[in-house]
Amino acid sequence: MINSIFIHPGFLLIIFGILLTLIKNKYITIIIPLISFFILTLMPDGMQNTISYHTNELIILNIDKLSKLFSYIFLLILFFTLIFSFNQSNRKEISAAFIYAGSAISVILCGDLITLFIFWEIMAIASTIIIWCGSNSSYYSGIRYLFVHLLGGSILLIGIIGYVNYSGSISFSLIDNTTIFSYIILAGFLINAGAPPFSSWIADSYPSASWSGTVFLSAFTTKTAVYVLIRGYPGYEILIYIGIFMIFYGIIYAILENDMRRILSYSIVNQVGFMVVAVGIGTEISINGASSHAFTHIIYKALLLMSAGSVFYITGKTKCTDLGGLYKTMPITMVCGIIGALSISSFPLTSGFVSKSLTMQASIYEEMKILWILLTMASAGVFLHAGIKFPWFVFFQKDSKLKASDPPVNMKTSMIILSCLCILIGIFPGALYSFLPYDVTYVPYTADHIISQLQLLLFSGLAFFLMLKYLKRTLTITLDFDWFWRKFSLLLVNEFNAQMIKTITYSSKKYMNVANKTIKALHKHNGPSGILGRSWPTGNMAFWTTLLLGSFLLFYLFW
Amino acid sequence: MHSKQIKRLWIIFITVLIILFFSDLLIDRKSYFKIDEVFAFPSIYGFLSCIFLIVISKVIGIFLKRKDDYYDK
Repeated sequence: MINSIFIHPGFLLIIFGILLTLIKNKYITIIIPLISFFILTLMPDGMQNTISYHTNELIILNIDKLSKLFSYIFLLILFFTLIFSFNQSNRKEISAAFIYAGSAISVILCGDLITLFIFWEIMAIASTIIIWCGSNSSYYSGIRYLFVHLLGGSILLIGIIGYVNYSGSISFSLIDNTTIFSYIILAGFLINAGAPPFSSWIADSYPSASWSGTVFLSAFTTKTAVYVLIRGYPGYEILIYIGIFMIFYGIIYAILENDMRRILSYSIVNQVGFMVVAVGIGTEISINGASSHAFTHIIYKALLLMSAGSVFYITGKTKCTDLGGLYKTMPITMVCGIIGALSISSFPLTSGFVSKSLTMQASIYEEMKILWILLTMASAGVFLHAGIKFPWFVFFQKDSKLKASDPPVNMKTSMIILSCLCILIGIFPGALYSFLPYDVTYVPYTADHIISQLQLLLFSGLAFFLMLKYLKRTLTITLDFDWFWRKFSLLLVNEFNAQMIKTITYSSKKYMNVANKTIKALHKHNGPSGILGRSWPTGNMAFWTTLLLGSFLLFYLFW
Repeated sequence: MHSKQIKRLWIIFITVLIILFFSDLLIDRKSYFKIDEVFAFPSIYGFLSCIFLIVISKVIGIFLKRKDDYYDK
């Protein structure tokens, strides 16, 4: 039953996405996220809406501070990415982006596992369509993306069925770890977060989308996964280990990578790793850390990918080996890119500094010494692989002599506004903190904290420039777990085919012999001259019949 | 950029680094664990971490790097 007449902010986007092909005016599109945003602001905390479905009450709307925070940032980034993508001629991509964002928001706002699963799957399909809108070569990476997500979806479904069966309730809240099914659900969630061994799907699929598609993709899937982890699995210790793996995986693969959009994709895994660790710590301050980090990350990652997308849009190139020296021709793109890069590295006065610090502080409060040492090393590594590497190889380095200019005005506007947001959040963290699920007492700006962070980052910078010789880009990729299904499975199939052909030839030879022998034997006995197949003269027949009848007569007479 | 400009940037950068390194003398940097009581710990640790990460990735690269058309063949 619907409690009152209301418009669901997520459904609105999905319906509009479906109708979008009928609407020619692209400027109208940006109004819809604003309407959704406005509706959401009117909804008070604690508001719930349910609809009946068979015997279940589906909670399609469940408003609290956490779900509002994530919905706000999703709508915000949808709005700015739409402005950025006015020049995108492929309207299917925009239509899919609406459905994708709408289903992501529906996952965020829902309160039960069935609704969650339905929109989880719609999200997977809509995002695959965005990837397919990239280029001709993005078909196969789209298929691989879909394969991973449908697998994740199936695992999630198994978990949900088992969990609901066991607990008797479909509601989605803190999941207590009493059954194997809660871990199966966790596995389904983690696949979407880019956890091992499926981390490669991010760097494989996102860079195959178009220059604007990658920006849409970067915001929703992984952050929805972070959200459901915060809701269901705070304090699960295993998440700390998984998160640490993701953090260092992201750094090492990004250091080795040549394609700028793949560098940024690996850095998504790295950043989500920080959030997963924060969820694993599970205290109030670390949950605040994960939420605020997700919020700021969505902004600066979109900004970085917009900057990379602009370079791709203007020059048509994405490889660091082809790029360089663009600071002269694309100054605004460069400045915005650098602001994004400083934010991701948690430079003081940027949004990353006020959000990631919460997680660092949480590890200190919990006296997790080794974790703190690893996270500090990772913070230096983030500056290395995303903070300097991305701007350096794209905008400076050598002069690539590419003809370029800053992108059209709408793309510039959206980058400039997001850059301002990064800096404003960095200078006035109080505004962001007031939206977090728990009260914040932490003060990021202390002389001690600023100096430590600057020391850490600038000496990492020194290491980068001293080791520049060893960081030179080459035309290479780095193998990952997806090798197993991209190459190994192929080798396996080829090997199987080869062996199969061998076996068939060998056995057919062998059985042909047996068959030939059998046929020969049959021919001998049943053939035209064989004893059983020979044609007998009629006289013979008459003779034997007479003999038979005669002996019958004799028997009859004398018996 | 001219080599003169690059040289000037390096001089500025190194000066900032030196100031930061010795700012530990002026500011009482809070230490939470034993290890970060070391003088200018963030500087030293940040620098060494990056060298370490680059070396590790180089070693991994030896085994896992392939030509970028590897999967297209």
